[in-house]
Amino acid sequence: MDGSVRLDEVVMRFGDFTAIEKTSLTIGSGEFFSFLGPSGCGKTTLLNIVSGFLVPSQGQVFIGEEPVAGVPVNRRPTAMIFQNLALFPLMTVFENIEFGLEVRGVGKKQRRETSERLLALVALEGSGPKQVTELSGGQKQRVAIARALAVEPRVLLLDEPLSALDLKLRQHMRAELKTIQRKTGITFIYITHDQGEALTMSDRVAVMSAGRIQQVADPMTLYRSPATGFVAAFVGENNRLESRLVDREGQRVRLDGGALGELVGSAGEGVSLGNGDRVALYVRPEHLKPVAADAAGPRLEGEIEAVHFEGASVMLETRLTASGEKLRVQLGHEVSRQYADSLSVGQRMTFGYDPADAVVLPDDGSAVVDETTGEMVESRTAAGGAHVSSA
Amino acid sequence: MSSQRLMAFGLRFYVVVFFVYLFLPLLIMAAATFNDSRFPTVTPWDGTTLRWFGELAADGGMWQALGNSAIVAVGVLCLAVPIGIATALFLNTVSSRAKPFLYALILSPLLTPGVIIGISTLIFWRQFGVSGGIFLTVLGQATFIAAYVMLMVTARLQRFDRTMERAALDLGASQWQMFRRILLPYLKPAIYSAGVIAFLQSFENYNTTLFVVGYDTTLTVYIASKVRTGLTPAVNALGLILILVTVLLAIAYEVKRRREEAVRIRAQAGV
Repeated sequence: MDGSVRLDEVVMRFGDFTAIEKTSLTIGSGEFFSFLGPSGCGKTTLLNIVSGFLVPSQGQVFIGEEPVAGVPVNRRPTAMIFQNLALFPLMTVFENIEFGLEVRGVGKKQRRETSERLLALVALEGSGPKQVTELSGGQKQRVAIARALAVEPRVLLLDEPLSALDLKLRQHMRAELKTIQRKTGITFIYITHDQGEALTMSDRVAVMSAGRIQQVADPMTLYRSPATGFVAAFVGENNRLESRLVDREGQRVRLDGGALGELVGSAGEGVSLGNGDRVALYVRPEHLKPVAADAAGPRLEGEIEAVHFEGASVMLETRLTASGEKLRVQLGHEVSRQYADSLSVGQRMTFGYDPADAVVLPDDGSAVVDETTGEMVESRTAAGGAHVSSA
Repeated sequence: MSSQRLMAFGLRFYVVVFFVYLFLPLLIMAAATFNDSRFPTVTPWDGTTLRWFGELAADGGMWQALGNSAIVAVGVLCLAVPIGIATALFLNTVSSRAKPFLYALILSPLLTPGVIIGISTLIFWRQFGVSGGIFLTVLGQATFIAAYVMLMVTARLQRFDRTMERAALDLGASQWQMFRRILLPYLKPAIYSAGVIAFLQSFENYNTTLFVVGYDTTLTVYIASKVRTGLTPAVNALGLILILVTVLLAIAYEVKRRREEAVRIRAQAGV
């Protein structure tokens, strides 16, 4: 059964507001695919277009290579798991799971067999006769999954289904969802603003911002080779150093960091950079290492402003002596023990990094992380957003 | 006496006065049932009797009127409840600027004096050759009782989580299946209450009914006419019976509600 989903130049407008810029994308059958982005980026709108709740202003949607334009919600081979789960509170667990079969006219005996089988799949055997109001948060989650699977969808759409759970349960359900996806082989399209969820579960992730897909890649590529400044800042943590490109030799680029002197890094995958361009160098906190002040290679000297012990690592908040910019440095267990004496507020340290780990991207100024809340602030529209067409 | 105790005393005094005001007339009315006097009064007390119950039972006109009231009330129930539900559902989906206007239009019979509704119903239907009677009474009363039903259903509808509807459609239900299996069960408590209110509103209505009832008589109209021709304590006997029936029904409802609540709490405790 082909559960592939293809968006062909889909555009969604609400009045003057464009929620989804022209987007083309193919999601493979049986893939665990996530849309990751801050709230308001258009990811839920895309999900509603696939499910049929919204009709795109332009473009076509194909499910299993068949166009679904004009096919209403209740005839599409998709099933949705809602953010608030939307279990029917007046019904038992059995009745909830069997609802989709009941409205299709499936007989009572066959319905019960299906729901028993699905309850076993989500490890809720024996809970069928219970009222859904009697269940715990995690159990409700499982019933919602079973209810969606009962209609044998080709595509399961999940709209931030774990956001209501506490941290422990959320982590547990991540593993569970992945297992269920593998067992059933159904295409999962997962919407989240939580990069942890997207990175741990997905085969591929589409990072979205302001109605535009910024990058589509597997989680590791997304983390190691962000295609835009937005992705670099949104996925994981990154230090962003503004600079100007001096010259380029293959992937390796030399930069003029202004007060910071000469910097080096690697050109981002598929980005065009010209000599003299304003660029941004992204160095992750864990890629910075203490080095001798006269060591070879790129050096950044900073004064420690705060030291946060995080168990497995230590996070340093430093201010660069040359430019006054902030630089966050994460030291692993071994390194932090080795430098234990120097890790105090007011101390100056010099940090180096491997240029292969530092990504240079055009400075689109698109994404800034709010330092107090950790939320994305989009100061300018993402002019540098890549137009993604992936197979 | 401290001001706090004064407040507490004042509050208690107020509650007592309030209940006396509320129930003393009913008590006097009930007591008058058993007074062996030609007039419904407790002074002078002419001896205790049960004969007014007998008189009541023998009053054929009264029974006829009671039967008519019941027929009208059932008719209003059947007409006003579906109209009220449909209106509530419709208003809930309308999102245009016309909504406040439509809302006001539907509520206007509630704000119009019942007399006017009665007269206008009569005048309107006379154009089509329909004269006063039970049929017109049902129509006249339903115009404003449907608005009560609409209000009660709307109140519950506004708390309905629309994602339930989306979930049902997403799982393959048609609009009708969604309505029957999800929305209607959810609205049921409001519909039942609205039904009870509609029935009672119809049963006790006088001012609209008076104009449209024609040669027929409902209970309220019958009692009012008796006031003119001479009231006997038989009317008090009827009042007492109606009060007792109402109180018994209220107690039965409360007992049922508490039992269901206990079941629910036990279920939630996971016992």
